[in-house]
Amino acid sequence: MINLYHMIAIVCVAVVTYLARYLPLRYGHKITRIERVSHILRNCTIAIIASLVALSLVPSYLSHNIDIVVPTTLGVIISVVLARRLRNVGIVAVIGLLTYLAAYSLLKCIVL
Amino acid sequence: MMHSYVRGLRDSLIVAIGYVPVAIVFGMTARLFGFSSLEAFLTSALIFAGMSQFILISLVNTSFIYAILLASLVNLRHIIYGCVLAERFNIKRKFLIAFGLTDEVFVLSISKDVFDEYYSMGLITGSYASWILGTLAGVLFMRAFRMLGVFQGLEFALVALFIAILVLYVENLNDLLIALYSIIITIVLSFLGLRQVAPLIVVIAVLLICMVFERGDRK
Repeated sequence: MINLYHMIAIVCVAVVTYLARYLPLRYGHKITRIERVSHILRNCTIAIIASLVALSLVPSYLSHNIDIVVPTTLGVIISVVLARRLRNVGIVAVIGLLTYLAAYSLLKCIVL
Repeated sequence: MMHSYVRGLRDSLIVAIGYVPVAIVFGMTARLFGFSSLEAFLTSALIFAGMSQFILISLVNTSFIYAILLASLVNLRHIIYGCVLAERFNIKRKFLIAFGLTDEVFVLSISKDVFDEYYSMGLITGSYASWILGTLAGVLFMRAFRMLGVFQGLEFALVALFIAILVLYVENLNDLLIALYSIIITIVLSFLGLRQVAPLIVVIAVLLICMVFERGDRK
């Protein structure tokens, strides 16, 4: 039911997250040059997310399998367009997933 | 006091509309990546930080330390929220407010001229409840998908989510360039067989680029 590694990881991230929120609330008034730190952390966040997007897409495109490449491309396009318009990540994720599944099922039907 | 709390709870509905679909996707993908229902629930209950939760579940099975490191790194942006609040307001119940200081709660809290702790606690209660309930709904949806025999492609939800977050973060040319550099570096590293450490190398590269540009600006 509970994997020890998972639990340790969950607790570690929970502690770091709480401290990252609590310590600045307690001692934050002593930290100067907030704008500069904010700028760097923001850039790092963008870099990590962009890297994760690339990492999650590379295997699909390297598969050279049309059943995966076409639904992935459609899903990516729909997700980008909707994210710009709706600005709600949850709804974008759900519609992106449905687009992918619909395209995948459709291609399977055509091939069969 | 009670009035402020209820007002915060009411305003948290706006946050909940955004949280519930993400939490549902989280519950589903956590199960997909081998987390049990209880672990998925505990992740949301203890961490309460969307992006790092997704990073944790997607990487923990491949690299334990690395997953903790990256998941923690994206949460360091919360340091800024705490600094801004500490500088502007005198908060008494810091240990309680800190737990729920998410992006959305921070934005709604600083939109007021005076920091109302009960209002913020109402906001946090509503947001937290929606996050937990959404996660449980996602876990149940995943069970339904399994019963229907649908497995293939469900992991795309995570890809779509990361894309949506990235698109929302990119606000100007500078952000776009960082995103493009990061994507290119990651692809190159993937081809070199350094897939697992790619995000960390990307972060180091971006930090170096920031330092170089800053020195250039000073001169």
